[in-house]
Amino acid sequence: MRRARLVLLSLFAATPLGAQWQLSADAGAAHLRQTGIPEANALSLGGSIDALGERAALRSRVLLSRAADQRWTGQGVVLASLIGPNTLGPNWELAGALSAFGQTSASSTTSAEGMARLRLGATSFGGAIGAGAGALFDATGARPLYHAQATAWQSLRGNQLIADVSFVGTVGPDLGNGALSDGTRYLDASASWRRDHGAFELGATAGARAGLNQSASGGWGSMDVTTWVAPNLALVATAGRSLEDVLRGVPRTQYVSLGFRVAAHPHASIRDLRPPPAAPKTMVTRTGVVLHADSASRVELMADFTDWEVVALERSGSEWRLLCEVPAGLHRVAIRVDGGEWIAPPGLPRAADDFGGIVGLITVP
Amino acid sequence: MRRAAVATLLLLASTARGASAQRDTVLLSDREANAELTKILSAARDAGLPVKPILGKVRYGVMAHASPDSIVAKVRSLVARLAVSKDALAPDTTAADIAYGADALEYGATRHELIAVRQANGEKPALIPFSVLAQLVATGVPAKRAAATVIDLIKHHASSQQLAALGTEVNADVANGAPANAALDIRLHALTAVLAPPVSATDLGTVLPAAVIPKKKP
Repeated sequence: MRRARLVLLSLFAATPLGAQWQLSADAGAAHLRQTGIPEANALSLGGSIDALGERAALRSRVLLSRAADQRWTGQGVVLASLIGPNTLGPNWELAGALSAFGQTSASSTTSAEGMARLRLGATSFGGAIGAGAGALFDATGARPLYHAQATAWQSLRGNQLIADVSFVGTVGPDLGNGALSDGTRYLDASASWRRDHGAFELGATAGARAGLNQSASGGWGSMDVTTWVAPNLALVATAGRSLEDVLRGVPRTQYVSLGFRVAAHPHASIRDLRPPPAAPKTMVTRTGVVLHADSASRVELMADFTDWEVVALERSGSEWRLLCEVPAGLHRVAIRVDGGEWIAPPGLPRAADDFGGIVGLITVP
Repeated sequence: MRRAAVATLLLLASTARGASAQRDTVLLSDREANAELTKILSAARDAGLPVKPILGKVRYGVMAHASPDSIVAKVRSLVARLAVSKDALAPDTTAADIAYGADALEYGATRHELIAVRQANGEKPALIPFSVLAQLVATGVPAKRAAATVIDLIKHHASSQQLAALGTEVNADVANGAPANAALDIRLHALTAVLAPPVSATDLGTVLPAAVIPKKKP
């Protein structure tokens, strides 16, 4: 019941954000191994709902699984954050997390946590430090938890890198006489990498834990590969090893899983909206223009950045090049191949000009 | 000849700032059109408008073999847009921002949308947001939605590269037959995941497959 409330809460909380949505459902099979526990196969059904509003973000994950012996497990986590209005400098962030984990014939573990963060930088490069507190509910009752975290991130040529150091501590269970036992404390350091490259999404995470009190030290890691085989359908493979997650109540596990993902929104790289690969392409950068025109014997270009003077491009293999300074901003470009008509360069977006012609339109960052 | 004459006007207009209109017109054969252009350029300078895009418009018209009358008409429209852009971006703005704001107006954005994008962008140069606004509107995205999209991306700290890529990709999608709004939907959703606040592995907790816990040995 508590888990059901959690799922409903995640749906309700996301509604007023006026957000861009990402919804997906996963179905697959997993093979798991734990120390002292027989290896097992299980079928799993999961879902994710992500929403990004102007100053708010929400991520939720839910998974139900059924092992061969009719045993069910369930896990859900909801992360929500509200970010301050400052778009140009340091910014505050208030974040909250709710999680639940349970299995058939066993008591569940739930947690609620709030955190305040100071964020610096932008989405492409930045960092955050924060601290928070919450409560953990399990078979031994309710216990306080506390959490401090430092995170840095950078996006570099399509790669997203995140490094994170966090300290997690809990107060131990009530000893029955009003006193609390010594709790768990550990320090985690992790690094993760993600890349969305065409039809493939790749991710890897590695981390190490220093157990400070009643927690084992060790390392963990995981890899995942998502291959979009259709605009809304992907094959997802994951493998990894995780340590006990005190905050989420999940024990130490090794796993390999394979499944399908159905997404509500088509994956951009699969939706066939781009020109066919065989079409010649044009690239305009701050340092000039490069275009492919194998069969041409002469290529000329005129553009606002040449003051509409006609300039001949130089051949370099199958490419035609013009080295020149191109200011940032929107530019209109036209080319002429072998003395023919002025046309928009191949592969560039086209727009009508003021005088009845067509030019290529490109924004150079 | 007419093309050369207009080009001559351009050379004089661009280099002889403050030169008399008489000097500009003496050398030209198409006196009426060139006199009009000279007058427009002079008025634009006096109004503090950037002259470079005006000269660029004339040069392109000449290269496109447009008639002098047509060139004058298009220049007059451009100057009007530059004036609206300058007024919308006042008091602190740059020639580049005014020019790219005028581009956005050319493709269908409104003065109100320029102001909104400028406000979201703060004091930073707005040439890339205005360029992308222009490109999206030129592609067929309704101006109101295009402006809202650009503003939203600015607020999510989208980089110039990300903004420019969005405009180019949507434009390319439409060129390949996709409806403009649908193309923007697709590209925005791809960008959304990238622009979301980064979440560390610790935040998300143990990844989903780990939740599948087998029964313990009796």
